[in-house]
Amino acid sequence: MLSYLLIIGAVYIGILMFFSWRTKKQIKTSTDFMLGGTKIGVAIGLMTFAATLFSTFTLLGMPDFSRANGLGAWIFLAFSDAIMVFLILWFGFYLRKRVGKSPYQGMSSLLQKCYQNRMAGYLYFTAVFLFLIPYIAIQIRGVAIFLVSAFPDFIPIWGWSIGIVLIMLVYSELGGLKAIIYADSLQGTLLLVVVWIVAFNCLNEVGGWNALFERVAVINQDLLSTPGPKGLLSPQFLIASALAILMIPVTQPQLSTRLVIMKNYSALKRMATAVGFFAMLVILPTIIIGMYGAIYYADASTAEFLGGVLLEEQHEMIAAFIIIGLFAAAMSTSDSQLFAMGNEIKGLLGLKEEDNLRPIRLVILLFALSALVFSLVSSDELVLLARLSFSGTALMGPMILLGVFSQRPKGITMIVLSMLALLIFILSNLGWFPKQILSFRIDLFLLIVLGIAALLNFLVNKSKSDKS
Amino acid sequence: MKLKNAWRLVVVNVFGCAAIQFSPWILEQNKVDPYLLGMPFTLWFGILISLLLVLLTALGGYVFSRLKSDELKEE
Repeated sequence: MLSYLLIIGAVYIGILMFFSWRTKKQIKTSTDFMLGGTKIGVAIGLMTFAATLFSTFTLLGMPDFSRANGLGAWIFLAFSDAIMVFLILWFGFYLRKRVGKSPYQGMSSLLQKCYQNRMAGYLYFTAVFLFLIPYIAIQIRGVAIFLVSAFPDFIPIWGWSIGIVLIMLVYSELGGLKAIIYADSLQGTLLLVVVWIVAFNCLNEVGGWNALFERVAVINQDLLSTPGPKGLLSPQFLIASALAILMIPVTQPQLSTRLVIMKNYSALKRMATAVGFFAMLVILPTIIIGMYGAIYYADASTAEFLGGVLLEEQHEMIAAFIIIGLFAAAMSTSDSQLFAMGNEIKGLLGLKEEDNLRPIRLVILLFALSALVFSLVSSDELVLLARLSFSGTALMGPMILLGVFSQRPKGITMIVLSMLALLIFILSNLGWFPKQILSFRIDLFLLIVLGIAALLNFLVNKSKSDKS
Repeated sequence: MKLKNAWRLVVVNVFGCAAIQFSPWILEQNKVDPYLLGMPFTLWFGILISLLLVLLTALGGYVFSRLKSDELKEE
C-alpha cells in the first residue's frame, strides 16, 4: 500500500502546489489574500462550502457514531443540514446586504459596526477561538490516529500531527483563500467518491441493501430507531443538535465568509440547494458503513473498526485513496478555519489593504499551534467533540442574527446575555455548573433563552422606532 | 398568490417539517415499522423529509429572489 500512497500522495500534493502557485501570482493586496480576490460561482461555491462543512468528523466520526447509536444519526446530521441550507437563503441575503460593497472584514468587525460596540466583536472572536480550536484539533487527531493504525510502529501520533499542521500552514500561507477554495473542489470530490466506494464494498460484503438492515435487526434492533442502544439520540439531544448545526453558517467564520464571496445571490441560492443534496449524498454512505460496522465490528474499538473497514478490507489502491481522502477532508476544513480566524483578526485590528500581512500570518501560526497542542490531548470521540464545538459557537447565533437582520440600534443587552450564556456553557462543560436547567439540556436552554431575548429586542426596538 | 405569501408558505412548511420530524410520533421509541424499500421507518422517513426540505430550499430560493428582486438589482 505504501507505494500506492506515495504515488497518489505525490499527485495530490503536486495539484495543491499547482493551485497555490497559480493563485499566488494573482495576489496583489491583503484582500486578494484573505478573500480570494474575486467572486465565486455555483460549482466552486458548492464544493468549497461542502468541503469546509464535511470533514474528518464526517468520514471517520459518522460511521462510528451510527455504529454505536444507530439510524438516528441521519436525523442528527442530514436532517439538521437540510434545515441549515434553508437558513442560508435568508441569512445569506441579509448578511450580503449588510456587508454591501465594502470588503468583508470578518464577522467580528461586522458585529462591532452593527452594535456600535467593540465588545460584540471581541466576544464573538473569543467564542470562535475557544470552540473552533478544538474542532481543528479533531481534524488533526482524527487523521493522525488513522495514519498510526495504517502504519503501526512507523511514526508516532505527534509526528503525524505535526506533519499535517505543517502541510496545512504551508498551503494556506502560500496561496491564500483562493488556493484553499480551488483545493476544496478537489477535496470535496475525493471525499464523495471515496466514501461511496467504501459503502458499496460494505453492501457487497453484507449481501445487499435489504440484508444490511435485516442483519442489523437480528444483532441489535435498537440501532434501527431512536434513541439508539445508548439512549443518546433523545428528542432533546436531536433538537439541540439541529439548532447548533443550523447556526454553523451564521456563527462559523469560514462558512459565513463563503456566503459573502459568492458571485451574486442567484449563485448563493443555487449553492444552498446543491449543498443540501451533497450533504445527503455524503451522509448516506457513512450510515451504511456504520450499519456494516454494527454487524461485523459490534464489539471492536473505534480504531479497530475504522482500520478494518477503511483499510484492511479495501484494495490497497482504494485504501491509499481513503488515506489521501481523509487527509484532504481534514485539510479543507482546518485550513479554511485557520484562515477565517486570520480574517477575523484582520477585521479586529482594522488592518487596511496596503498593510503588511505579517500579524495575520503570525496569528494563523498561533492558532495552528494551539490546535496542534489540543489535538495531542483531546479524546477520540470525534462526533461528540464536534458537536460541542457547534454548540459553543451556536451561542453567538442569536446575537449575530439580531445584528444582521435589524437596522436599528440594539443596545448592550444581547451582548451581555451572550457573554453570560458562553460563560455558563463553559462552566457546565467543566463540571462547575449543572448540565440541565428545568429538565432542559444546558445548550438547548441557553439557545432558547438567547433566541427569545433576540426576538424581544428586535420587537421592542421596532415598536420604539415605529412610534418615533 | 402574492410573493410575500408564497415565501411565508414556504417558511411555514419548513417549520412544519421540523415539527413533524421531532414530534413524539416520529421519534417514538423503537419504532421500525413500516419498512420502505428495505429501510426501517427512521431512515426512510428521515431521507424523505430531508429531501423535501432541500426541495423547499430550491423553491424558497426562487420565491425569495423574486420577492427581493429590487434590492438584488443593486448587487
